[in-house]
Amino acid sequence: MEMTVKLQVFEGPLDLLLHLLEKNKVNIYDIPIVEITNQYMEYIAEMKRQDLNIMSEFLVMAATLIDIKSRMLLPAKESEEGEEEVDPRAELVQQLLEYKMYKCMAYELRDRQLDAARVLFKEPTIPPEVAEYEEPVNLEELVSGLTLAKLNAIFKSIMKKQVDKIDPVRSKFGKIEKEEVSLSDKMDYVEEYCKTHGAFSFRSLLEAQSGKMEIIVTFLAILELMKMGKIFISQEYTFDDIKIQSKIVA
Amino acid sequence: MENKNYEAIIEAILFTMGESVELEKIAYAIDLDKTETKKIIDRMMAHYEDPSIGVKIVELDGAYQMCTKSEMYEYLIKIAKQPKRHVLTDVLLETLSIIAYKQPITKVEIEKIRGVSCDHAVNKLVEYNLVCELGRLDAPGRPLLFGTTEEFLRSFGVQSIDELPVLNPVQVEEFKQEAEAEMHMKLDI
Repeated sequence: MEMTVKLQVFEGPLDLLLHLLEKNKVNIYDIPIVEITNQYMEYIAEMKRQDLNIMSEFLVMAATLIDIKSRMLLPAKESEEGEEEVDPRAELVQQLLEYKMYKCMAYELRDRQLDAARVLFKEPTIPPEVAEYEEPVNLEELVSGLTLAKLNAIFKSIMKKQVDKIDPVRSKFGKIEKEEVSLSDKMDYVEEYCKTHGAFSFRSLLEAQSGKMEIIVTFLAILELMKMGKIFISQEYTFDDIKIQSKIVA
Repeated sequence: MENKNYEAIIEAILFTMGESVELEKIAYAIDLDKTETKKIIDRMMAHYEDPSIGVKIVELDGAYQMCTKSEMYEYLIKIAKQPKRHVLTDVLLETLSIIAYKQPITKVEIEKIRGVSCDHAVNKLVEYNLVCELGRLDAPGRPLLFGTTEEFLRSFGVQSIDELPVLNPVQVEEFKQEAEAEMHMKLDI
């Protein structure tokens, strides 16, 4: 964080604004918006902050100032009852006043902290036997007023709560199981099929499969076997069925 | 039992416990009601103001703790080690003062007053045990509410939140008038 001799570092836009107001000896209830906005923008231009979060707060305030400035330049609108529009600076003035109050109180608190720091306190000095002492449990007191009927009622209400907890709809859902179809298994299957069936049609092979997963893996198996050179694929004409033949001589 | 004995008991309790003890507990120990107990403690506090006594009793939001008088500090520091007091930056102090006066308050509300994010400041204050979570606000997002701790009361020599130095509206008027008096020219819009 750079700090030139003239330029003070401000923690936030309100901090900077208050500083500008004091510097210009301005009445907080009648801020000369044009002048203050200009000075504010100058400061921002010179500030070399790395922290984007803080910078964005400054920019939000800059936008607010410019917004107020432009609203003050427009002629005052009169509402239907003939009342004048609220001073656009009012909200900002409120915010500045409140911030200024707390800044003051912060200084007050700091003074108090310095005073209070001169007061020392003591740690507890309790002998361990005393610290560990537990009052013996008075059984009679503990179970007084407890009858068997009451226990039964409590038991019933707990069981009822357990039953009530079960969601009537959700608990009836069955399990959906994932099918496990392995590629290598399918490849072996296709090879076997080849040996037993000689040449066969792709379509009939797929039709023999149960379920989408099986069809997909079978298809992958065929591609893999093709790549490995174990089977031979042929097609008579476009969109015709594909014929599969084993290349391996039995 | 004579009143003198009650005072002796309370003295012994506060000395042994070191930490703050709630009025209820003291009342229970000496078997008196809270009002009577408070009267006795108030009497003791007045008695301790005598310069011949080096300790005093402070009240912290309904609990009592024994401690040394600030005049003794320069002597004590030659022997006792001072517990580390955290140095609070301006930012932390401002945030702390806002929380102290407006508690319970959310981070968003604090940021509205300060004009910048207060995340880091509030977290640091919680770390120093000057501020703590008081629960959640019943609003969308259920944001955390913050307030001051007993440690805050101790560190700033405040009896309770009600005893905080008053935000003086008269002072604010003075600021305004000062500014007006010093103003030489009024800039036109």
